[in-house]
Amino acid sequence: MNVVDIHPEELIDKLAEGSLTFAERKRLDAHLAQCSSCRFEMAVRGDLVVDALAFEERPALTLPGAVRQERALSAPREGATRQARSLRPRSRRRWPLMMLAAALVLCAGGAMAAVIRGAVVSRWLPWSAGPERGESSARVSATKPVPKAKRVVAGPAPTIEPIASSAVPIASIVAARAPEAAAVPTPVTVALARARSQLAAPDPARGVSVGAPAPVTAVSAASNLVEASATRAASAALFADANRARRDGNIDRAVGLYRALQSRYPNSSETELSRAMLAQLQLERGNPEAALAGFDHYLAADSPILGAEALVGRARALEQLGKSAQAAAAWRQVQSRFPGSVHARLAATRLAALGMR
Amino acid sequence: MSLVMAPNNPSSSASQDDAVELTALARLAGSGDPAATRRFLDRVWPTLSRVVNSVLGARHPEVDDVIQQSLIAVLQALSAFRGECHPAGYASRIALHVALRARRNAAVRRARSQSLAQISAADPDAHWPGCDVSAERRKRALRDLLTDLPEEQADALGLRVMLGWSLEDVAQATGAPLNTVRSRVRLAKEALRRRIEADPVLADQLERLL
Repeated sequence: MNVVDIHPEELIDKLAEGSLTFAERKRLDAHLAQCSSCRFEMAVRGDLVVDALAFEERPALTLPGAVRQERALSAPREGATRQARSLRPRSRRRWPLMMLAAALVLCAGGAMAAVIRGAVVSRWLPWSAGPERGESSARVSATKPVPKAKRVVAGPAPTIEPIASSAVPIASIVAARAPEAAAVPTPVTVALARARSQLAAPDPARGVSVGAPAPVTAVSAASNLVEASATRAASAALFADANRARRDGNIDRAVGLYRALQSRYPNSSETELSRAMLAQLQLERGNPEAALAGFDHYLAADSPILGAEALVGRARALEQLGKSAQAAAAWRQVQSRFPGSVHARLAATRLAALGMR
Repeated sequence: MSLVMAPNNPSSSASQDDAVELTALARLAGSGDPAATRRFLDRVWPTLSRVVNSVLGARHPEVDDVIQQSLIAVLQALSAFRGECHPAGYASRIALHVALRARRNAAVRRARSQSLAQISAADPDAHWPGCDVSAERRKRALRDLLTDLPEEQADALGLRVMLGWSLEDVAQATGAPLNTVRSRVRLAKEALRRRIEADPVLADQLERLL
Protein backbone atom coordinates (compact mmCIF):
# COMPACT_ATOMS: atom_id res chain seq x y z
CA MET A 1 0.00 0.00 0.00
CA ASN A 2 1.59 3.29 -1.07
CA VAL A 3 0.84 6.82 0.04
CA VAL A 4 -1.82 7.25 -2.62
CA ASP A 5 -3.82 4.35 -1.16
CA ILE A 6 -4.07 6.03 2.21
CA HIS A 7 -6.75 8.56 1.52
CA PRO A 8 -7.08 11.33 4.10
CA GLU A 9 -10.84 10.98 4.46
CA GLU A 10 -10.91 12.95 7.71
CA LEU A 11 -9.20 15.89 6.02
CA ILE A 12 -11.75 15.80 3.21
CA ASP A 13 -14.51 15.89 5.83
CA LYS A 14 -12.84 18.77 7.61
CA LEU A 15 -12.52 20.66 4.35
CA ALA A 16 -16.23 20.13 3.72
CA GLU A 17 -17.01 21.44 7.20
CA GLY A 18 -14.65 24.39 6.75
CA SER A 19 -12.58 23.41 9.78
CA LEU A 20 -9.32 22.57 8.04
CA THR A 21 -6.18 24.13 9.56
CA PHE A 22 -3.41 25.54 7.40
CA ALA A 23 -1.14 22.58 8.10
CA GLU A 24 -3.90 20.12 7.32
CA ARG A 25 -4.68 21.96 4.12
CA LYS A 26 -1.07 21.56 3.02
CA ARG A 27 -1.20 17.83 3.77
CA LEU A 28 -4.44 17.48 1.83
CA ASP A 29 -3.06 19.42 -1.13
CA ALA A 30 0.02 17.21 -1.18
CA HIS A 31 -2.19 14.13 -1.31
CA LEU A 32 -4.46 15.58 -3.96
CA ALA A 33 -1.47 16.30 -6.17
CA GLN A 34 -0.76 12.57 -6.29
CA CYS A 35 -4.22 11.00 -5.99
CA SER A 36 -6.51 11.29 -8.97
CA SER A 37 -9.41 9.54 -7.22
CA CYS A 38 -9.46 12.01 -4.31
CA ARG A 39 -9.14 14.87 -6.78
CA PHE A 40 -12.05 13.35 -8.62
CA GLU A 41 -14.02 13.08 -5.40
CA MET A 42 -13.47 16.73 -4.55
CA ALA A 43 -14.50 17.80 -8.05
CA VAL A 44 -17.64 15.65 -8.06
CA ARG A 45 -18.67 16.91 -4.66
CA GLY A 46 -18.47 20.43 -6.07
CA ASP A 47 -20.50 19.39 -9.11
CA LEU A 48 -23.19 17.87 -6.91
CA VAL A 49 -23.39 20.98 -4.73
CA VAL A 50 -24.17 22.95 -7.87
CA ASP A 51 -26.84 20.38 -8.78
CA ALA A 52 -28.28 20.53 -5.27
CA LEU A 53 -29.11 24.20 -5.79
CA ALA A 54 -31.71 23.06 -8.29
CA PHE A 55 -33.58 21.37 -5.46
CA GLU A 56 -33.57 24.24 -3.01
CA GLU A 57 -37.20 25.09 -3.52
CA ARG A 58 -39.27 22.83 -1.30
CA PRO A 59 -42.39 21.38 -2.80
CA ALA A 60 -45.76 22.09 -1.33
CA LEU A 61 -47.85 19.01 -0.74
CA THR A 62 -51.11 20.74 -1.42
CA LEU A 63 -53.92 19.88 -3.67
CA PRO A 64 -54.91 22.64 -6.08
CA GLY A 65 -58.58 22.00 -5.39
CA ALA A 66 -58.09 22.27 -1.66
CA VAL A 67 -56.07 25.45 -2.01
CA ARG A 68 -58.69 26.97 -4.21
CA GLN A 69 -61.44 26.08 -1.78
CA GLU A 70 -59.58 27.55 1.17
CA ARG A 71 -58.74 30.71 -0.72
CA ALA A 72 -62.25 31.11 -2.00
CA LEU A 73 -63.54 30.89 1.55
CA SER A 74 -61.02 33.29 3.02
CA ALA A 75 -60.37 35.93 0.35
CA PRO A 76 -62.33 35.55 -2.85
CA ARG A 77 -60.75 38.43 -4.77
CA GLU A 78 -57.19 37.69 -3.87
CA GLY A 79 -57.95 34.03 -4.29
CA ALA A 80 -58.87 34.57 -7.92
CA THR A 81 -55.45 35.90 -8.88
CA ARG A 82 -53.59 33.39 -6.77
CA GLN A 83 -55.67 30.60 -8.21
CA ALA A 84 -54.52 31.54 -11.68
CA ARG A 85 -50.95 31.28 -10.47
CA SER A 86 -51.58 27.92 -8.87
CA LEU A 87 -52.89 26.57 -12.15
CA ARG A 88 -49.63 27.14 -13.99
CA PRO A 89 -47.81 24.00 -15.10
CA ARG A 90 -46.08 22.50 -12.10
CA SER A 91 -42.62 21.08 -12.05
CA ARG A 92 -42.65 17.42 -13.00
CA ARG A 93 -40.77 16.76 -9.81
CA ARG A 94 -43.88 17.60 -7.80
CA TRP A 95 -46.13 15.02 -9.34
CA PRO A 96 -45.50 12.08 -7.01
CA LEU A 97 -46.62 13.96 -3.95
CA MET A 98 -49.48 15.60 -5.72
CA MET A 99 -50.56 12.19 -6.84
CA LEU A 100 -50.33 10.89 -3.32
CA ALA A 101 -52.42 13.74 -2.03
CA ALA A 102 -54.91 13.30 -4.82
CA ALA A 103 -55.13 9.58 -4.22
CA LEU A 104 -55.64 10.08 -0.52
CA VAL A 105 -58.45 12.51 -1.21
CA LEU A 106 -59.99 10.10 -3.68
CA CYS A 107 -59.78 7.26 -1.16
CA ALA A 108 -61.29 9.47 1.47
CA GLY A 109 -63.93 10.75 -0.89
CA GLY A 110 -64.73 7.25 -2.01
CA ALA A 111 -65.03 5.97 1.52
CA MET A 112 -67.21 8.82 2.65
CA ALA A 113 -69.27 8.73 -0.51
CA ALA A 114 -69.81 5.04 0.07
CA VAL A 115 -71.07 5.78 3.56
CA ILE A 116 -73.39 8.48 2.38
CA ARG A 117 -74.49 6.73 -0.79
CA GLY A 118 -74.85 3.33 0.74
CA ALA A 119 -76.20 4.14 4.13
CA VAL A 120 -77.93 7.43 3.55
CA VAL A 121 -78.41 8.72 0.05
CA SER A 122 -79.83 5.75 -1.73
CA ARG A 123 -82.20 5.20 1.15
CA TRP A 124 -83.76 8.63 1.39
CA LEU A 125 -83.07 10.68 -1.69
CA PRO A 126 -86.04 10.95 -4.07
CA TRP A 127 -84.21 9.28 -7.01
CA SER A 128 -83.15 6.32 -4.92
CA ALA A 129 -84.38 2.83 -5.71
CA GLY A 130 -85.88 2.90 -2.23
CA PRO A 131 -84.92 -0.38 -0.64
CA GLU A 132 -86.97 -1.66 2.19
CA ARG A 133 -86.00 -0.87 5.71
CA GLY A 134 -84.03 -3.56 7.40
CA GLU A 135 -81.96 -4.36 4.36
CA SER A 136 -78.28 -4.51 4.96
CA SER A 137 -76.20 -1.57 3.92
CA ALA A 138 -74.35 -3.90 1.54
CA ARG A 139 -77.55 -4.62 -0.34
CA VAL A 140 -78.47 -0.99 -0.28
CA SER A 141 -75.18 0.09 -1.80
CA ALA A 142 -75.43 -2.66 -4.40
CA THR A 143 -78.65 -1.19 -5.69
CA LYS A 144 -77.61 2.41 -5.70
CA PRO A 145 -77.56 4.26 -9.03
CA VAL A 146 -73.91 5.06 -9.55
CA PRO A 147 -74.21 8.15 -11.77
CA LYS A 148 -76.52 9.84 -9.30
CA ALA A 149 -74.27 9.15 -6.37
CA LYS A 150 -71.34 10.81 -8.14
CA ARG A 151 -73.03 14.12 -7.48
CA VAL A 152 -72.08 13.87 -3.83
CA VAL A 153 -68.37 14.21 -4.55
CA ALA A 154 -68.62 16.17 -7.75
CA GLY A 155 -66.59 19.08 -6.33
CA PRO A 156 -63.01 17.90 -6.13
CA ALA A 157 -63.20 14.94 -8.49
CA PRO A 158 -62.58 16.56 -11.90
CA THR A 159 -59.37 18.17 -10.72
CA ILE A 160 -57.74 15.05 -9.40
CA GLU A 161 -59.07 12.13 -11.41
CA PRO A 162 -56.46 12.18 -14.21
CA ILE A 163 -53.57 12.48 -11.78
CA ALA A 164 -54.78 9.83 -9.40
CA SER A 165 -55.01 7.17 -12.05
CA SER A 166 -51.24 6.72 -12.09
CA ALA A 167 -50.77 7.15 -8.37
CA VAL A 168 -51.94 3.69 -7.47
CA PRO A 169 -48.82 2.29 -5.78
CA ILE A 170 -48.35 4.89 -3.05
CA ALA A 171 -52.04 5.42 -2.62
CA SER A 172 -52.67 1.73 -2.24
CA ILE A 173 -49.91 1.40 0.32
CA VAL A 174 -51.18 4.30 2.35
CA ALA A 175 -54.76 3.14 2.03
CA ALA A 176 -53.89 -0.42 2.96
CA ARG A 177 -51.93 0.66 5.98
CA ALA A 178 -54.45 3.25 7.01
CA PRO A 179 -58.02 2.45 6.20
CA GLU A 180 -59.04 5.55 8.11
CA ALA A 181 -57.63 7.64 5.28
CA ALA A 182 -61.04 9.20 5.13
CA ALA A 183 -59.74 11.70 7.64
CA VAL A 184 -57.90 13.64 4.95
CA PRO A 185 -59.03 17.23 5.20
CA THR A 186 -60.62 19.98 3.28
CA PRO A 187 -62.24 18.87 0.00
CA VAL A 188 -63.80 15.76 1.46
CA THR A 189 -64.91 17.53 4.57
CA VAL A 190 -66.51 20.27 2.57
CA ALA A 191 -68.19 17.84 0.21
CA LEU A 192 -69.54 15.81 3.09
CA ALA A 193 -70.73 18.86 4.93
CA ARG A 194 -72.54 19.88 1.79
CA ALA A 195 -74.08 16.45 1.45
CA ARG A 196 -75.09 16.48 5.08
CA SER A 197 -76.77 19.85 4.76
CA GLN A 198 -78.61 18.60 1.68
CA LEU A 199 -79.83 15.62 3.61
CA ALA A 200 -80.94 17.67 6.53
CA ALA A 201 -82.74 20.28 4.41
CA PRO A 202 -86.50 20.00 3.81
CA ASP A 203 -87.38 18.27 0.55
CA PRO A 204 -89.91 20.42 -1.30
CA ALA A 205 -91.03 17.53 -3.49
CA ARG A 206 -92.03 15.47 -0.51
CA GLY A 207 -92.92 18.31 1.73
CA VAL A 208 -91.06 16.69 4.57
CA SER A 209 -87.61 16.79 5.90
CA VAL A 210 -85.62 13.97 4.33
CA GLY A 211 -83.36 13.86 7.30
CA ALA A 212 -86.04 13.04 9.87
CA PRO A 213 -86.94 11.08 11.82
CA ALA A 214 -86.23 7.40 10.94
CA PRO A 215 -82.77 7.88 9.42
CA VAL A 216 -81.53 9.74 12.46
CA THR A 217 -79.02 7.06 13.47
CA ALA A 218 -77.46 6.84 10.04
CA VAL A 219 -77.36 10.60 9.64
CA SER A 220 -75.82 11.03 13.02
CA ALA A 221 -73.27 8.34 12.20
CA ALA A 222 -72.31 10.19 9.05
CA SER A 223 -72.40 13.41 11.01
CA ASN A 224 -70.05 11.98 13.60
CA LEU A 225 -67.67 10.91 10.89
CA VAL A 226 -67.71 14.37 9.41
CA GLU A 227 -67.15 15.99 12.80
CA ALA A 228 -64.31 13.64 13.65
CA SER A 229 -62.74 14.23 10.27
CA ALA A 230 -63.03 18.00 10.64
CA THR A 231 -61.58 17.88 14.16
CA ARG A 232 -58.62 15.82 13.06
CA ALA A 233 -57.97 18.11 10.14
CA ALA A 234 -58.18 21.24 12.30
CA SER A 235 -55.96 19.72 14.96
CA ALA A 236 -53.39 18.65 12.38
CA ALA A 237 -53.47 22.09 10.74
CA LEU A 238 -52.91 23.85 14.05
CA PHE A 239 -50.04 21.51 14.87
CA ALA A 240 -48.50 22.13 11.46
CA ASP A 241 -48.82 25.90 11.94
CA ALA A 242 -47.11 25.66 15.31
CA ASN A 243 -44.28 23.58 13.89
CA ARG A 244 -43.85 26.00 11.02
CA ALA A 245 -43.67 28.94 13.43
CA ARG A 246 -41.09 27.06 15.49
CA ARG A 247 -38.97 26.27 12.46
CA ASP A 248 -39.17 29.89 11.34
CA GLY A 249 -37.82 30.94 14.74
CA ASN A 250 -41.10 32.55 15.78
CA ILE A 251 -41.00 30.87 19.17
CA ASP A 252 -43.65 33.02 20.89
CA ARG A 253 -46.14 32.23 18.18
CA ALA A 254 -45.20 28.55 18.25
CA VAL A 255 -45.72 28.40 22.02
CA GLY A 256 -49.08 30.13 21.66
CA LEU A 257 -50.20 27.75 18.95
CA TYR A 258 -49.11 24.65 20.87
CA ARG A 259 -51.07 25.91 23.89
CA ALA A 260 -54.09 26.68 21.72
CA LEU A 261 -53.90 23.17 20.31
CA GLN A 262 -53.79 21.66 23.77
CA SER A 263 -56.77 23.64 24.99
CA ARG A 264 -58.93 23.21 21.88
CA TYR A 265 -58.22 19.58 21.06
CA PRO A 266 -57.09 17.99 24.33
CA ASN A 267 -57.59 14.42 23.09
CA SER A 268 -55.91 14.61 19.69
CA SER A 269 -52.68 12.80 18.91
CA GLU A 270 -51.18 16.14 17.85
CA THR A 271 -51.87 17.54 21.30
CA GLU A 272 -50.00 14.66 22.86
CA LEU A 273 -46.99 15.32 20.65
CA SER A 274 -47.22 19.04 21.22
CA ARG A 275 -46.59 18.54 24.95
CA ALA A 276 -43.11 17.21 24.18
CA MET A 277 -42.47 19.92 21.57
CA LEU A 278 -43.61 22.68 23.91
CA ALA A 279 -41.49 21.30 26.74
CA GLN A 280 -38.49 21.23 24.42
CA LEU A 281 -39.07 24.87 23.52
CA GLN A 282 -39.38 25.80 27.17
CA LEU A 283 -36.14 24.01 27.92
CA GLU A 284 -34.36 25.89 25.15
CA ARG A 285 -35.77 29.18 26.42
CA GLY A 286 -34.30 28.61 29.87
CA ASN A 287 -37.44 27.53 31.67
CA PRO A 288 -36.45 24.08 32.96
CA GLU A 289 -39.24 23.94 35.57
CA ALA A 290 -41.97 24.25 32.97
CA ALA A 291 -40.06 21.96 30.62
CA LEU A 292 -39.74 19.29 33.29
CA ALA A 293 -43.45 19.46 34.04
CA GLY A 294 -44.20 19.22 30.31
CA PHE A 295 -41.93 16.22 29.78
CA ASP A 296 -43.38 14.46 32.86
CA HIS A 297 -46.89 15.09 31.57
CA TYR A 298 -45.94 13.73 28.18
CA LEU A 299 -44.16 10.68 29.58
CA ALA A 300 -47.18 9.81 31.71
CA ALA A 301 -48.99 8.73 28.52
CA ASP A 302 -48.87 5.10 27.41
CA SER A 303 -45.95 4.40 25.04
CA PRO A 304 -45.34 7.99 24.00
CA ILE A 305 -43.99 8.28 20.49
CA LEU A 306 -41.25 10.69 21.51
CA GLY A 307 -40.45 8.75 24.66
CA ALA A 308 -36.69 8.69 24.12
CA GLU A 309 -36.53 12.37 23.24
CA ALA A 310 -38.73 13.32 26.19
CA LEU A 311 -36.57 11.33 28.59
CA VAL A 312 -33.50 13.11 27.25
CA GLY A 313 -35.25 16.46 27.64
CA ARG A 314 -36.26 15.55 31.17
CA ALA A 315 -32.68 14.68 32.08
CA ARG A 316 -31.45 17.95 30.58
CA ALA A 317 -34.09 19.90 32.49
CA LEU A 318 -33.02 18.25 35.74
CA GLU A 319 -29.41 19.12 34.97
CA GLN A 320 -30.35 22.74 34.37
CA LEU A 321 -32.19 22.77 37.68
CA GLY A 322 -29.00 21.61 39.39
CA LYS A 323 -30.55 18.30 40.47
CA SER A 324 -27.52 16.21 39.56
CA ALA A 325 -28.56 13.00 41.27
CA GLN A 326 -31.99 13.03 39.67
CA ALA A 327 -30.46 13.98 36.32
CA ALA A 328 -28.06 11.05 36.55
CA ALA A 329 -30.97 8.74 37.33
CA ALA A 330 -32.83 10.12 34.32
CA TRP A 331 -29.81 9.59 32.06
CA ARG A 332 -29.49 6.01 33.33
CA GLN A 333 -33.15 5.53 32.51
CA VAL A 334 -32.38 6.66 28.97
CA GLN A 335 -29.55 4.12 28.79
CA SER A 336 -31.63 1.26 30.12
CA ARG A 337 -34.73 1.94 28.04
CA PHE A 338 -33.01 2.77 24.76
CA PRO A 339 -29.74 0.83 24.73
CA GLY A 340 -27.62 1.16 21.62
CA SER A 341 -29.39 4.32 20.52
CA VAL A 342 -27.87 7.73 19.94
CA HIS A 343 -29.65 8.81 23.10
CA ALA A 344 -27.84 6.14 25.11
CA ARG A 345 -24.51 7.41 23.83
CA LEU A 346 -25.48 10.94 24.77
CA ALA A 347 -26.50 9.66 28.20
CA ALA A 348 -23.08 8.05 28.65
CA THR A 349 -21.43 11.36 27.78
CA ARG A 350 -23.59 13.28 30.20
CA LEU A 351 -23.09 10.75 32.98
CA ALA A 352 -19.35 11.04 32.48
CA ALA A 353 -19.64 14.83 32.64
CA LEU A 354 -21.61 14.51 35.85
CA GLY A 355 -18.89 12.25 37.21
CA MET A 356 -21.25 9.28 37.46
CA ARG A 357 -20.19 6.92 34.71
CA MET B 1 -20.97 20.68 3.42
CA SER B 2 -23.05 17.56 3.67
CA LEU B 3 -25.31 17.41 0.66
CA VAL B 4 -27.88 15.31 2.42
CA MET B 5 -28.61 15.10 6.12
CA ALA B 6 -26.34 12.52 7.68
CA PRO B 7 -28.12 9.86 9.74
CA ASN B 8 -26.76 10.80 13.08
CA ASN B 9 -25.20 14.17 12.89
CA PRO B 10 -27.56 16.94 13.89
CA SER B 11 -25.06 19.76 13.92
CA SER B 12 -27.23 22.47 15.43
CA SER B 13 -30.06 22.67 17.90
CA ALA B 14 -32.34 23.62 15.03
CA SER B 15 -31.54 20.47 13.10
CA GLN B 16 -31.77 18.45 16.31
CA ASP B 17 -35.18 19.92 16.88
CA ASP B 18 -36.07 19.16 13.30
CA ALA B 19 -34.92 15.59 13.80
CA VAL B 20 -37.17 15.22 16.83
CA GLU B 21 -40.19 16.43 14.91
CA LEU B 22 -39.37 14.31 11.88
CA THR B 23 -38.84 11.28 14.09
CA ALA B 24 -42.29 11.80 15.57
CA LEU B 25 -43.77 12.07 12.11
CA ALA B 26 -41.91 8.95 11.00
CA ARG B 27 -43.22 6.93 13.91
CA LEU B 28 -46.76 8.16 13.42
CA ALA B 29 -46.48 7.40 9.71
CA GLY B 30 -45.05 3.99 10.53
CA SER B 31 -48.09 3.29 12.66
CA GLY B 32 -50.34 4.05 9.68
CA ASP B 33 -51.43 7.64 10.31
CA PRO B 34 -52.22 8.99 6.81
CA ALA B 35 -51.87 12.66 7.74
CA ALA B 36 -48.49 12.02 9.33
CA THR B 37 -47.49 9.95 6.31
CA ARG B 38 -48.31 12.82 4.03
CA ARG B 39 -46.42 15.33 6.16
CA PHE B 40 -43.44 13.00 6.48
CA LEU B 41 -43.26 12.50 2.71
CA ASP B 42 -43.57 16.22 2.23
CA ARG B 43 -40.53 16.73 4.45
CA VAL B 44 -38.29 13.99 3.04
CA TRP B 45 -39.27 14.25 -0.59
CA PRO B 46 -36.74 16.97 -1.52
CA THR B 47 -33.97 14.88 0.02
CA LEU B 48 -35.02 11.74 -1.82
CA SER B 49 -35.35 13.66 -5.04
CA ARG B 50 -31.83 15.02 -4.63
CA VAL B 51 -30.41 11.56 -3.96
CA VAL B 52 -32.16 9.95 -6.91
CA ASN B 53 -31.15 12.78 -9.24
CA SER B 54 -27.55 12.49 -8.07
CA VAL B 55 -27.44 8.77 -8.76
CA LEU B 56 -29.39 8.67 -12.00
CA GLY B 57 -28.76 12.12 -13.43
CA ALA B 58 -31.47 14.72 -13.77
CA ARG B 59 -32.22 13.78 -17.38
CA HIS B 60 -32.62 10.09 -16.77
CA PRO B 61 -36.04 9.04 -18.06
CA GLU B 62 -36.79 7.00 -14.97
CA VAL B 63 -36.08 9.72 -12.41
CA ASP B 64 -39.71 10.30 -11.49
CA ASP B 65 -40.48 6.60 -11.36
CA VAL B 66 -37.49 5.92 -9.15
CA ILE B 67 -38.41 8.77 -6.81
CA GLN B 68 -41.83 7.22 -6.50
CA GLN B 69 -40.33 3.78 -5.89
CA SER B 70 -38.13 5.36 -3.23
CA LEU B 71 -41.14 6.91 -1.54
CA ILE B 72 -42.87 3.54 -1.54
CA ALA B 73 -39.79 1.83 -0.17
CA VAL B 74 -39.48 4.44 2.58
CA LEU B 75 -43.15 4.02 3.49
CA GLN B 76 -42.73 0.26 3.65
CA ALA B 77 -39.63 0.58 5.80
CA LEU B 78 -41.09 3.09 8.24
CA SER B 79 -42.64 0.44 10.44
CA ALA B 80 -39.11 -0.85 11.07
CA PHE B 81 -37.71 2.61 11.82
CA ARG B 82 -36.46 2.62 15.39
CA GLY B 83 -35.56 6.28 15.61
CA GLU B 84 -31.89 5.59 16.14
CA CYS B 85 -30.80 7.89 13.35
CA HIS B 86 -32.07 10.95 11.55
CA PRO B 87 -35.18 9.99 9.57
CA ALA B 88 -33.98 11.94 6.53
CA GLY B 89 -30.74 9.97 6.61
CA TYR B 90 -32.69 6.74 6.92
CA ALA B 91 -34.86 7.71 3.97
CA SER B 92 -31.98 8.91 1.83
CA ARG B 93 -30.09 5.66 2.30
CA ILE B 94 -33.16 3.76 1.12
CA ALA B 95 -33.43 6.10 -1.85
CA LEU B 96 -29.76 5.52 -2.67
CA HIS B 97 -30.32 1.77 -2.73
CA VAL B 98 -33.40 2.05 -4.89
CA ALA B 99 -31.64 4.43 -7.31
CA LEU B 100 -28.53 2.26 -7.56
CA ARG B 101 -30.66 -0.78 -8.23
CA ALA B 102 -32.61 1.11 -10.89
CA ARG B 103 -29.39 2.24 -12.52
CA ARG B 104 -28.02 -1.30 -12.56
CA ASN B 105 -31.25 -2.59 -14.07
CA ALA B 106 -31.21 0.14 -16.69
CA ALA B 107 -27.62 -0.73 -17.57
CA VAL B 108 -28.53 -4.38 -17.96
CA ARG B 109 -31.45 -3.49 -20.20
CA ARG B 110 -29.28 -1.23 -22.32
CA ALA B 111 -26.60 -3.88 -22.61
CA ARG B 112 -29.20 -6.32 -23.86
CA SER B 113 -30.59 -3.99 -26.46
CA GLN B 114 -27.43 -2.39 -27.81
CA SER B 115 -23.73 -2.22 -27.38
CA LEU B 116 -22.63 0.34 -24.81
CA ALA B 117 -20.26 1.74 -27.40
CA GLN B 118 -23.19 2.67 -29.61
CA ILE B 119 -24.98 4.77 -27.06
CA SER B 120 -26.34 7.80 -28.86
CA ALA B 121 -28.24 10.94 -28.01
CA ALA B 122 -30.91 8.73 -26.47
CA ASP B 123 -28.49 8.01 -23.66
CA PRO B 124 -29.82 9.76 -20.55
CA ASP B 125 -26.30 10.76 -19.57
CA ALA B 126 -25.53 12.31 -22.93
CA HIS B 127 -24.61 15.98 -22.95
CA TRP B 128 -27.10 18.67 -23.73
CA PRO B 129 -26.63 22.31 -24.74
CA GLY B 130 -25.44 24.49 -21.90
CA CYS B 131 -24.27 21.72 -19.63
CA ASP B 132 -20.83 21.68 -18.04
CA VAL B 133 -19.27 18.90 -20.10
CA SER B 134 -16.43 18.25 -17.64
CA ALA B 135 -18.80 18.04 -14.70
CA GLU B 136 -21.16 15.77 -16.61
CA ARG B 137 -18.28 13.50 -17.56
CA ARG B 138 -17.23 13.22 -13.93
CA LYS B 139 -20.75 12.55 -12.70
CA ARG B 140 -21.28 9.98 -15.39
CA ALA B 141 -18.04 8.23 -14.50
CA LEU B 142 -19.10 8.10 -10.87
CA ARG B 143 -22.56 6.77 -11.70
CA ASP B 144 -21.11 4.10 -13.97
CA LEU B 145 -18.64 3.14 -11.30
CA LEU B 146 -21.40 2.84 -8.69
CA THR B 147 -23.31 0.62 -11.07
CA ASP B 148 -20.36 -1.73 -11.50
CA LEU B 149 -18.95 -1.84 -7.98
CA PRO B 150 -19.87 -4.55 -5.47
CA GLU B 151 -22.92 -3.42 -3.50
CA GLU B 152 -21.14 -2.69 -0.20
CA GLN B 153 -18.50 -0.59 -1.90
CA ALA B 154 -21.07 1.23 -4.02
CA ASP B 155 -23.09 1.90 -0.90
CA ALA B 156 -20.11 3.30 1.00
CA LEU B 157 -18.83 5.41 -1.90
CA GLY B 158 -22.32 6.67 -2.78
CA LEU B 159 -23.09 7.74 0.77
CA ARG B 160 -19.69 9.34 1.12
CA VAL B 161 -19.25 11.11 -2.21
CA MET B 162 -22.80 11.65 -3.42
CA LEU B 163 -24.38 12.46 -0.08
CA GLY B 164 -21.28 13.93 1.54
CA TRP B 165 -21.42 11.83 4.70
CA SER B 166 -18.41 11.27 6.95
CA LEU B 167 -16.97 7.78 7.41
CA GLU B 168 -18.56 7.65 10.87
CA ASP B 169 -21.96 8.54 9.41
CA VAL B 170 -21.61 5.82 6.78
CA ALA B 171 -20.58 3.31 9.43
CA GLN B 172 -23.56 4.27 11.57
CA ALA B 173 -25.97 4.02 8.65
CA THR B 174 -24.68 0.74 7.28
CA GLY B 175 -24.05 -0.89 10.65
CA ALA B 176 -20.50 -1.77 9.59
CA PRO B 177 -17.38 -1.10 11.67
CA LEU B 178 -15.56 2.12 10.86
CA ASN B 179 -12.47 0.33 9.54
CA THR B 180 -14.61 -1.82 7.29
CA VAL B 181 -16.17 1.27 5.81
CA ARG B 182 -12.73 2.83 5.41
CA SER B 183 -11.59 -0.30 3.59
CA ARG B 184 -14.65 -0.30 1.33
CA VAL B 185 -14.09 3.32 0.39
CA ARG B 186 -10.42 2.62 -0.29
CA LEU B 187 -11.26 -0.30 -2.58
CA ALA B 188 -13.88 1.77 -4.35
CA LYS B 189 -11.34 4.53 -4.88
CA GLU B 190 -8.89 2.04 -6.31
CA ALA B 191 -11.51 1.03 -8.84
CA LEU B 192 -12.17 4.69 -9.49
CA ARG B 193 -8.49 5.34 -10.14
CA ARG B 194 -8.34 2.47 -12.64
CA ARG B 195 -11.35 3.92 -14.38
CA ILE B 196 -9.80 7.38 -14.51
CA GLU B 197 -6.58 5.95 -15.93
CA ALA B 198 -8.58 4.15 -18.60
CA ASP B 199 -10.24 7.39 -19.69
CA PRO B 200 -7.57 9.82 -21.00
CA VAL B 201 -10.04 12.69 -21.36
CA LEU B 202 -11.18 12.39 -17.77
CA ALA B 203 -7.61 11.99 -16.55
CA ASP B 204 -6.62 15.09 -18.47
CA GLN B 205 -9.49 17.08 -16.97
CA LEU B 206 -8.44 16.04 -13.48
CA GLU B 207 -4.82 16.94 -14.20
CA ARG B 208 -5.96 20.43 -15.10
CA LEU B 209 -7.64 20.80 -11.73
CA LEU B 210 -4.24 20.84 -10.07
